[in-house]
Amino acid sequence: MVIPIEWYLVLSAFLFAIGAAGVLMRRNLFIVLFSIELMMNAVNINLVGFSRLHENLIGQNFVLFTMTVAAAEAAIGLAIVTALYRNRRTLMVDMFDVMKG
Amino acid sequence: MNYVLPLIPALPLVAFFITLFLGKWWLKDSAHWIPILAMAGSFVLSVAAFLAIRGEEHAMVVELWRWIPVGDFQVPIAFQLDQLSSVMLLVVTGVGTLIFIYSKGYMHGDPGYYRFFAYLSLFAFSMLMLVLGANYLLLYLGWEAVGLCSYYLIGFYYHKPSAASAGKKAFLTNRVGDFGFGLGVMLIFVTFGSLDYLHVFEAVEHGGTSEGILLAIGLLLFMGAMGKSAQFPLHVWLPDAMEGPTPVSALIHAATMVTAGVYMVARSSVIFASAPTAMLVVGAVGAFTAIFAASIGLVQNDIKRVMAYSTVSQLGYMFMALGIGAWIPAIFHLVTHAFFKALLFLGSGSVIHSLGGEQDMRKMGGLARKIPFTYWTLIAGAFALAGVFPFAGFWSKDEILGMNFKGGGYIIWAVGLIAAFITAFYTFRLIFMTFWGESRMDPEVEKHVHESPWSMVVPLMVLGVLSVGAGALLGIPPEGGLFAKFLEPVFEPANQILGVHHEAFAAIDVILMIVSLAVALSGVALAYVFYVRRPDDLPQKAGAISQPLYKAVLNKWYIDEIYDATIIRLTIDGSRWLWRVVDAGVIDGAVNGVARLWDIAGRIVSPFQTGRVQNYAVVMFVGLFVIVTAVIVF
Amino acid sequence: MAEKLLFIVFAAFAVAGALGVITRSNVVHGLILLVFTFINVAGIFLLTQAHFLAVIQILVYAGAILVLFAFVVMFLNLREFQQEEQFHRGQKWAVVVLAPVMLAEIVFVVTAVTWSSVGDGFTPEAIAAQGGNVMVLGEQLFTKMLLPFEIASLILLVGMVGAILLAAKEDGESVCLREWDDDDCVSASLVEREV
Repeated sequence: MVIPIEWYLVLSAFLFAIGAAGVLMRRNLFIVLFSIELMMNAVNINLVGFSRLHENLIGQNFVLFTMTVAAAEAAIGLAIVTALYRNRRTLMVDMFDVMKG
Repeated sequence: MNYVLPLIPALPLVAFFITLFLGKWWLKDSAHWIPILAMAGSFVLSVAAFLAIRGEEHAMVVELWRWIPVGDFQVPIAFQLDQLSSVMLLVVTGVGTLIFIYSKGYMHGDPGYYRFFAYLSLFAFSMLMLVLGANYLLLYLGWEAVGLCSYYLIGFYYHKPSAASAGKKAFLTNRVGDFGFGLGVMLIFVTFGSLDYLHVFEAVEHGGTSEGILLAIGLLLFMGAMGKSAQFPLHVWLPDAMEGPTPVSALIHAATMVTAGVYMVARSSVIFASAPTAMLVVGAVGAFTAIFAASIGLVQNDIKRVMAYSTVSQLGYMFMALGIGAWIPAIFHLVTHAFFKALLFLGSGSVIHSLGGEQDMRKMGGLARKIPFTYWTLIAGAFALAGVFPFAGFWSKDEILGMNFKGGGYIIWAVGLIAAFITAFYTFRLIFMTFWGESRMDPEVEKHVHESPWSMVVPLMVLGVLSVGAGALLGIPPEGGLFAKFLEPVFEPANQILGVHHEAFAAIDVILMIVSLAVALSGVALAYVFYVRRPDDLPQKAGAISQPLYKAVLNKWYIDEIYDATIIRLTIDGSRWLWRVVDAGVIDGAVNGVARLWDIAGRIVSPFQTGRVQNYAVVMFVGLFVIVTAVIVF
Repeated sequence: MAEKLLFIVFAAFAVAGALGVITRSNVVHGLILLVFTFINVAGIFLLTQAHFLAVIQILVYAGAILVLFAFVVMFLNLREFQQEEQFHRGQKWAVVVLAPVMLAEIVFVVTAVTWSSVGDGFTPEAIAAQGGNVMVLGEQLFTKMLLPFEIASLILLVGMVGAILLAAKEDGESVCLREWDDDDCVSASLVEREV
């Protein structure tokens, strides 16, 4: 293996941390969704890297399913965004504070 | 019989539900039809049951289903038909039907008309369950249910504070007795492992049960009977129960429910026969109550209260009889008493109805001409109660006294005789004060005096005929009449234990009959002298001569006051202490303390719940960080 | 050696793009930077001999999904939000501390572990001999992974139905997120006019 597995993992860790930071600190719902996509991509990199390491294709197959789920998630997420915007006329996440009992 | 027997209590139950649910909106003023028809149907079925059980040696038991099957504790819903329950069935349904019909006239126009009939039907159902049940738990069920109905019906005019509190008094006093009864039932189960009559009695007959336990069972059961049948010292509720409508007083507090205690002791005759001390207690309490209540009845001025004390006194007679093992005379007296006391109550109700609600005998008088039907039927009832030959009460009362005398219980016999004398006196005091002499009515009331409607008079006449003839028909010769022959099989085991032999009718019986007749007649005569010849001065003089005694009797021997000063005072003070100190201080303090603790905890924690998802996510990541750190470090 | 160099370049671009995504205040800028990041990730897939995934990454992710995002971004009028505060005030600092620490931990763990290969034999050479990455992957997908594949189609279908349901316009008078709070109510027609 030409490129050491650690490189993949470290890159994935960077992207994941950046994505997590984006989810946690951005107020704009779109950027939050982007950040989630970033985190998923970090996972994909891991899967592909391990697929290469273990010399099989299971990881790559898995990435296909991850993408499927990401696509569905994006569609639903965007639908929610539109619904929210229609009802509240804002997309600032901290304005939605009804998630309490 | 399998189908007939369950139907007897079922009919009034159905009537109860129909009347209760449809009464207010639909049946309204015709609410009486369904209960009356149901009751008449039960009566017909009871007659069928009577014909079926006549001459049978053994009881019939119809088991419907297992009610409570818990391990060894098996309680079926089962009905037992034997001669005793058959007699009770006939009394309850027969007198019940007449009183239902009477109620149609008496309660006419009452705003709670349908409610009244619903309660009456429920009562009939409960009473029939009580009588028919084949085990002690069903008896207990019926026992409590009739108590409940009694409470409802005493407090029927619930807007009247005195009626409401009389209902409560009845309920609470009964509770004292029922507590003992409940314990007795439990002791029976613990001892015999069953509650079925047949099983228990067989075990007792078989012997081997220690007399101490039987004595305890007997006394506990009798405690229940004391409450339900208003025996001293638990008699206080019955006179107050007269706050209820008169048909209720007649049905529940004279003819049927209060005799449940007598029925229960007679039913348990085997147990009592095996515990002579318990029987002694029963007889002593009965005799004391008989004379004690009669003495109070002497001076009461409320027509219904005279009847109430008379009922207590007559129930005392029945227990007196049970106490010497005279089971059949006791039941015989129960039956005749049901007839003539129901008659007297209904007659008094008729008088009250005629006078537009007046109950004070001092404001009556001279009514004989104005309400002749009521008068003549009441006369029949009064003779029966006083025990004058050949009316019904004579035969049963004479049997009781006769058996006491022949059994050697001379003291009890004498007490009974004195009570009989007093009974005759106050009964005719009532008759003379109400119907004879000058009218002492308010002129306003007098104008409206009218004979009661037919629905009230007809039951009076039927009961009148029964009061005149039933005793002679069933009770000749004493101790060997139709009634005694019919009931013989039920009490055979108890009599065997006691070793009672049936004795032939002899000269001694005739002498005793003449003595008791003479006593009764002299009571009537004395009443005549007091209240017809010299009503203006003699009663006052007699009262003045025995001033302290008179006052004590007038105040019902201060029993209510004694209860107020001791038990009730103590309960109230104790409750107040529990309320102020234990409840408000300890329990509320603890509860409030716990609540405050959580309140404070909540105040600390609740700011963390902001409702913003990202805050939660941060906390999640912090948690993740902590876990990963922990994994790395350890 | 050239591959390592390329990996570093792609990785650096991807991380830079990702950082740009979470710092830009303009959503469209963020979106374009996200596409840029994904393309670089696709490059890394290529370096790993995952040809099919690289293509899919660009087609589906950078293409379809992000076009969808762009569509919605344009659909809604988002300019007004640019003037607002973009970061959580308190949370920003928590994240600035937390994210690097998390990153450090992951890197520490990843580098501390000695990774060994299972060695199932599907080396790039073997795959090339069998007809290439796309063929082998497809074969596995439609044999070993058939059931998950079908389930994935179902997930997409459900996602589609859900999205349509959620985004469908309601024809009520006014919509209240919090029913007890009247000020919170917004008339639907008013929103529609604006949207």
